[in-house]
Amino acid sequence: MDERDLLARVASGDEAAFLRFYDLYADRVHRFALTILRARHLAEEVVQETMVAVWKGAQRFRGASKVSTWVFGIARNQALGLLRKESRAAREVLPPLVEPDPADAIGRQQRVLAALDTLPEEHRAVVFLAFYEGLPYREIATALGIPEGTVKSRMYHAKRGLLEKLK
Amino acid sequence: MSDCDRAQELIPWYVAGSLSEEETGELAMHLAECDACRAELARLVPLSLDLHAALGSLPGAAAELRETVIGRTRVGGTAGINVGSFLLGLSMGLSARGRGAPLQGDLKILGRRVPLFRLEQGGKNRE
Repeated sequence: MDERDLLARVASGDEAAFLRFYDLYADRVHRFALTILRARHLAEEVVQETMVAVWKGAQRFRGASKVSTWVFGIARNQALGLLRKESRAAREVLPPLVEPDPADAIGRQQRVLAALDTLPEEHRAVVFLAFYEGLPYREIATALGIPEGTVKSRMYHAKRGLLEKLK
Repeated sequence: MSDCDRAQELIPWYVAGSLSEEETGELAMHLAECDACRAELARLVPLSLDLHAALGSLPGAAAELRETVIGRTRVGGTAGINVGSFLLGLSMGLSARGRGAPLQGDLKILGRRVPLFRLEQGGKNRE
């Protein structure tokens, strides 16, 4: 069964299908939210709200985009809502994704995450959806509700920033 | 936009594996004759792999979250509690579906649900 069929079953109220859908997406949405929000408790809230929204609103998926585009679009909106709720001061003290430790055996991954952490939130979202989810820029534009040109521009600057930090 | 600018725009999507066939062809034509853009491609391939690995190393959703979401998606549907022994494959459940709806209890043995009782409104016990 492909994702569209699965989502159609969710829309019809099939609880088993919803659990399969949850298992398919929960980790990915959590990583996406963590990439954007950098705080585990907030990422968990995004997973919860996104999955509840999927359960309640699956019938609103019209099939114009990939299912993943639709899901990450919901997750992105949930994350933005949480960002708005957080005070500016609170956001500034959010911990980085990782503390870089160049001497560590897994230092490369840590350095990459640390470099990613220096990018603006909207650039991190594009990087995640492009390099982890493999979404084309057109789908990312749909998920994030921004023009394709903006996606490309964010990618351009993100790539520059990452290459500079990882030199 | 120069050919190189256009290629620089497309390269990240090419290494991420999401470029259309048409755009891939366009990029390939340019790369065949541009050292600078080939060098950019060579820089971005390892970055792409590193990013995929690093983002995949971030923690997934906690196991408890699944139960929380299940509970929340049954608001207005079934809400319940379960107690039992995982090792014995035995559990008891108590659930209610909606306001004023029947309250029912069941015993689950090795995944098979055995109804124990069902209370209708007014406390009438049917099982």
